[in-house]
Amino acid sequence: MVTMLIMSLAMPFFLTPVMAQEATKAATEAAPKVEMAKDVYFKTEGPVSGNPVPELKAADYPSYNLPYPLSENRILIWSIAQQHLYFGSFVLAVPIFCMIIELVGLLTKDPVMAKKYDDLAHLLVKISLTAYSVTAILGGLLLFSFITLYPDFFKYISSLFRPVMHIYALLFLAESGTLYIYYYGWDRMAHGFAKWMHACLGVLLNVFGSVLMMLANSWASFMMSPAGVDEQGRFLGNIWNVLHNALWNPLNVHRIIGNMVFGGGIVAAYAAYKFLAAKNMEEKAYYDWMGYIAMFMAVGSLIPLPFAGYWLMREVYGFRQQMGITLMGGLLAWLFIIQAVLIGALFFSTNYYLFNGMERMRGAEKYQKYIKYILFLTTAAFIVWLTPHTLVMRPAELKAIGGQQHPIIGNFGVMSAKNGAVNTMIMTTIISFLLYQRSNKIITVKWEAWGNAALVAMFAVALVNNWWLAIYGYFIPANVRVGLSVPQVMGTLTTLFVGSAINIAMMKGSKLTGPIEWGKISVRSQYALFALAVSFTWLMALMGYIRSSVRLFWHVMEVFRDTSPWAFTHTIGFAANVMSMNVMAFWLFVLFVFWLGELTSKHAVAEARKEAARPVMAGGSE
Amino acid sequence: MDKIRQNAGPILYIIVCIVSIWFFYF
Repeated sequence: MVTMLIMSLAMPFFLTPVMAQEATKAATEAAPKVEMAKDVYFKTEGPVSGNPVPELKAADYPSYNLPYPLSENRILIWSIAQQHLYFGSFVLAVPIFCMIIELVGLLTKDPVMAKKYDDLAHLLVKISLTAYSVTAILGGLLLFSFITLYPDFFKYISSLFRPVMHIYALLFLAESGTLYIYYYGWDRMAHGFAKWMHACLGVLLNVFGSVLMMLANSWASFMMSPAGVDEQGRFLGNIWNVLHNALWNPLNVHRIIGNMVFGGGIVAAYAAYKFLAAKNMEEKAYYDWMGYIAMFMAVGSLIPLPFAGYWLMREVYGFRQQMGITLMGGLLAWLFIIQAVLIGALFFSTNYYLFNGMERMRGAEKYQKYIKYILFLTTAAFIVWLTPHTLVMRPAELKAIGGQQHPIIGNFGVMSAKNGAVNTMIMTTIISFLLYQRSNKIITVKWEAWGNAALVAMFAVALVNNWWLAIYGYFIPANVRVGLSVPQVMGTLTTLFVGSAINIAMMKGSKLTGPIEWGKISVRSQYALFALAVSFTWLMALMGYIRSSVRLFWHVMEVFRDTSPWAFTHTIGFAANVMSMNVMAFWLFVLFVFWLGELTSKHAVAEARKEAARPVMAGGSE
Repeated sequence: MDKIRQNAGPILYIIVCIVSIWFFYF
């Protein structure tokens, strides 16, 4: 119903490509004097329907007279946009989890577990409600900052994306309406058909949320890879082309998966916070379980994320090779080394958490002896993964080393080796996971030896295939080498899906050595969850900066020049400090939100206790 | 007919999912 309403509102704005062509054809026949121009990306002709980009001078950027670096408008926009994106990312990820967990609860046969899942989904929405309003406030702040600090730029962008921006605002109405019905109707729609209706609302909430994000993504991707305009930036009458620019879809995919890792990390951090603050074993057990589920979701999304990132980078190279080189082998290359360290931190903290999680189960001892080998492989891969390749050198250093690349060391730190390394890290994490799942079970299927042999053989083949391709990549030209990532990925994904399937089949009918003792886990493991969440926050700040700064002195790549006094690229050290400040600010904010949640729940618990302690009147109806 | 009525919830859910996927196919 709401969808139909939105669709009917949106239809006049979003002509489908065929209708748009007919409309432009009709327009050209009626008025032959319309000037035609060529689309910078699609290379099609279209009627000029907008103004060219303005020619700006340094004085056209009104800034506050604040001490440096706050005198630079971009620092203000950067920080506000970063905070808005953090919270926005969180409120988009939580409904995805709710949708999945609620469905799992609906499909679970055991009524106790079904209720447990359903309550968890309900709790997650409650956590996100505060974050939802914070996101909206930060969005308002960002909008006012754009209007006041970059008036000419914003005028241009909003004239181009006029219908998109209106639909964006209308979708907010639809999303918040759905969210409130979803949250406040939870108990009323708890049974039978109404419960399925409620689950449908969860799907609808995600449709609105995803479309919102995709519309906002189109503004950022347009700035990187413009389409639908001519060389002077004049709109060519087809908003569909502006929306479907070259990097829109890769960015959509990468951000949806990234949101899920980020949201899972925040929920895991919330659970860790509650675990550490828990007063009794029952609470500990609950929050330990919640932290595990959140971590499971985060890591489940973390495994495909590098592949989506690789695709995004391939598309960047495909759009403008120079942009790709600036990112990976030029001005911003060392930021990618920092990225490698942070990704390594994610995989280490995940493995550490899983190793610690084995303590919940009796019978895990037989697998703990493998931890040191898994750790060794992961560490070796991590070292290859973070080796730098492009050095920034003075002429004297260049001479001493014998050119831009040292004859021997110059072979290290190239993408071929790193692809092999990251696939190794993903596979060792999968092995940790398979062992963790088996920890409290004694396998009883007859083909146990064959099953284990198949698993070992599959991982061995995948790892050797992966390392061989990483070495082979050194001997072939770059354009062929890029294609090698496909068999490497296929190997890794095979171990993930086939390995999980064999493992699950082997655990059928197995004897339990005891239930999982939730809550019996080291305090250190909870700090690993914090490390996971903070590393990911840092990673988002880092990669967001890289994505924006690759435009160098362009507002809109090769169309709209940035002529502000601060159109230079920051030093890596300065940029890293701004990122870290943003991470700190966000976590202080998040802890405040957690603390707020604590206040309301304490009140509810106190009320319930008072109610329970109330003396019952003799002969009363109660 | 009774079978459809009994499973109206899951059927509705699947329809909503299919329509959503069609919508993204945006």
